[in-house]
Amino acid sequence: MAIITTSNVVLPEDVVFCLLLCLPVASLLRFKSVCKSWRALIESSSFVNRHHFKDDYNNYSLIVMNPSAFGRPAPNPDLYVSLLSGNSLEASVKLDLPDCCNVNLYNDSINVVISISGGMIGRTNGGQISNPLTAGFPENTDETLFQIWLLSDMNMVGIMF
Amino acid sequence: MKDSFNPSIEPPKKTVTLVSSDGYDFEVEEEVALESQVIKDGFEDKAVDDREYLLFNVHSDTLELIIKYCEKHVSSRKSISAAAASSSSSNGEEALKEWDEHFISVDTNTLYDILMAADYLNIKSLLDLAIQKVADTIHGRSPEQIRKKFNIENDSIIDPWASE
Repeated sequence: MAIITTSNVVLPEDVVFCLLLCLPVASLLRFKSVCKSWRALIESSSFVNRHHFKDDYNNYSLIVMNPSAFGRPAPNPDLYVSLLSGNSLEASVKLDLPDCCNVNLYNDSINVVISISGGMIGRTNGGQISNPLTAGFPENTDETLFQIWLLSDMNMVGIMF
Repeated sequence: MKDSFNPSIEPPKKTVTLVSSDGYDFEVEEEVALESQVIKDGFEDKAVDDREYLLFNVHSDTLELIIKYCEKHVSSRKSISAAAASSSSSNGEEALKEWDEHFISVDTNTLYDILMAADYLNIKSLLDLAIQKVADTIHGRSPEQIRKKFNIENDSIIDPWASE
């Protein structure tokens, strides 16, 4: 007789992983404070990648930030964000950054593609980016402190506003 | 003698015995039991008269539901592929989706029992179905409600953002 056993006291980690994959980003940001293991899971790059490339993200718009279009010189250049639909730019807006914001551009020629999907900021065409899940997104503060770190090739762009 | 509707001669059904945690025997067809990846793994290596599985973590109430699900999926797969072979149109997959949705619309405790059993028996499609259902029910909850629901101890360190 075969005996199959497992512990069913708590949700196994693989179940939690799949469960969290089904949740929208807003829930994930909130659930980071459930416990350490959930936080570690939600912030892990394997989870972020899996979540980002779920099928239902195909319909999200891409936003292109083109640092070469910045009018103002560093350290506080203007930042433009454009909506990308297919191959055409649909809208372009200048980010209204507060004066105190800290924008560091180490390379002004990179073309950064980020996708916004329910709060998650995605990836650059350089391949790597952290998003609010990993770079931190304060949950219980009225301050609009928000941080994005983009890494394209070896050049880092840090944006805080 | 009653003829099967299927003209091809079917071999006699092989069965597997599943024993629930509370000691009930469930005799199911082999292909139904094989929906469980855990049972499937190494199944062929087992002697035919040793095809009995004691499922320590699955209560008979849950096991009954699990078997019902597997039977439905095995038979639906057959009728869907039969319809595809005869190139007749079929809404089998749609119907199965509806059936799934109805199947998983159960009270919370039953849902978790199904979820845990599907994970334990490694029945991928059922696990996905149950997980999606749980996700639908928890996405708006607070962290505290989540901890309570899943029996999770609050071990969170101080939020690093709080001090900034």
